[in-house]
Amino acid sequence: MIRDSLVVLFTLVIAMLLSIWTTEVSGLPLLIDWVALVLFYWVVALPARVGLTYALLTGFAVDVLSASPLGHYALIMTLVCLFGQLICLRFRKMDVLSQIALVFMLAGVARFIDVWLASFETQAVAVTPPLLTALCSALVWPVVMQILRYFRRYHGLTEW
Amino acid sequence: MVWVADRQTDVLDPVRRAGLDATDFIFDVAAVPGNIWQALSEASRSEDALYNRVDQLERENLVLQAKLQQMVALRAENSRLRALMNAGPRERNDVLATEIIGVSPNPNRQIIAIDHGSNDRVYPGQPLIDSDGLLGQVIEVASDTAQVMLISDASHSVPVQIIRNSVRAIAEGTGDLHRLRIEYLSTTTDIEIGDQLVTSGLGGRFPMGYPVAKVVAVERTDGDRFATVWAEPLAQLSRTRHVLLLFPEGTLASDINHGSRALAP
Repeated sequence: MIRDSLVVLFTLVIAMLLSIWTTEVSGLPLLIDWVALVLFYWVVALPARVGLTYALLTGFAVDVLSASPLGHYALIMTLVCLFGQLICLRFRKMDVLSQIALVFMLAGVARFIDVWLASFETQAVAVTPPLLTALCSALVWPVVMQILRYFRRYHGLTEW
Repeated sequence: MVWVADRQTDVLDPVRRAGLDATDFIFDVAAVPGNIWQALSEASRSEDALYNRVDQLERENLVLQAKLQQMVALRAENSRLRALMNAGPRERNDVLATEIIGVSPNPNRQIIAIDHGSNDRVYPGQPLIDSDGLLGQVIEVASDTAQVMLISDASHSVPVQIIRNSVRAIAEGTGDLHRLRIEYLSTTTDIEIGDQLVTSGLGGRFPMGYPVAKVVAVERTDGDRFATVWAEPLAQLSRTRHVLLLFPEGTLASDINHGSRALAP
């Protein structure tokens, strides 16, 4: 049980690392929303295990790393998680293109909530265009999903 | 609720600090590939190239030493003149070299992480410079890392003055690494393209006299009260790796040559 949650947490930490690296390499912060993608995968794959606790913890960790008010990213993660829980059964049956389309929509909504919250916090100017983030995230989704699926099966994580 | 609490009050500051202490290993790990790459590229450099580099650095050092000699004399003369005018002595700063270990993945802010924290007496609001100019200020401090807001962040402002005629203004970040906006200059103010802007020291947060930006565009529209002035930061906001933390003079026991570890209390 503990080992299983460590597996999930490990992938989430890797996602945070990836988001720092993409920022450094591309110069565009959050070009790909790795953390949201990874969390979404786990929610869809194991909805009975990965839920709001993971969403909140990850959200707070990202908030601390990115120096935004605590709860900013956590709120977005909660919504991503909630949406994942709602559609997980249908989502698993979709073909890749529909999945990409849905992830694009979800990431886009997440970005707009982010911009909206940020506009309350400071005189925010989105450095990376929100829709670009959504598009890039959607495009890497199939790869992320395949890798995480392999990883999940390798460690024998199943829903129940 | 947490979001409102953290934004409006500072009750959650200890929590945030603990969180940063717990997660700052991510920045450390994130810096590993860059360090390996640097080590590899240094190791693979040929002997000739290294000799050339040493040669070049020695020459640069000589030039800087010469300038420094003059600087000592000038500083003495300056303090004599200031004494004659009954003005207080100019504030001087100690510096601590630190390294940028990560860029924060926040799409709305421009924040970087450095590898010194409260263990090295870094404090919130502390200014940072690189070899060319002002870089930003510290906003969050953990034990061994700190987060720094760049001067180009959209919510950052720094009081500046024009070197040429000491006109004061405010340089605001725009969210673009290469653009600052100079606010509150009336259309009749004497400002030209190429003017150097330095910190004015007003407000007490940034010490006086550090280069900030160079004016790149001035637009005066008839009927407007203020001119639209754009400037380009002199510090290499996106490329620099080694930066200096400024401390009020006397805070650090040793000088710049002793490196960071000698400074622990």
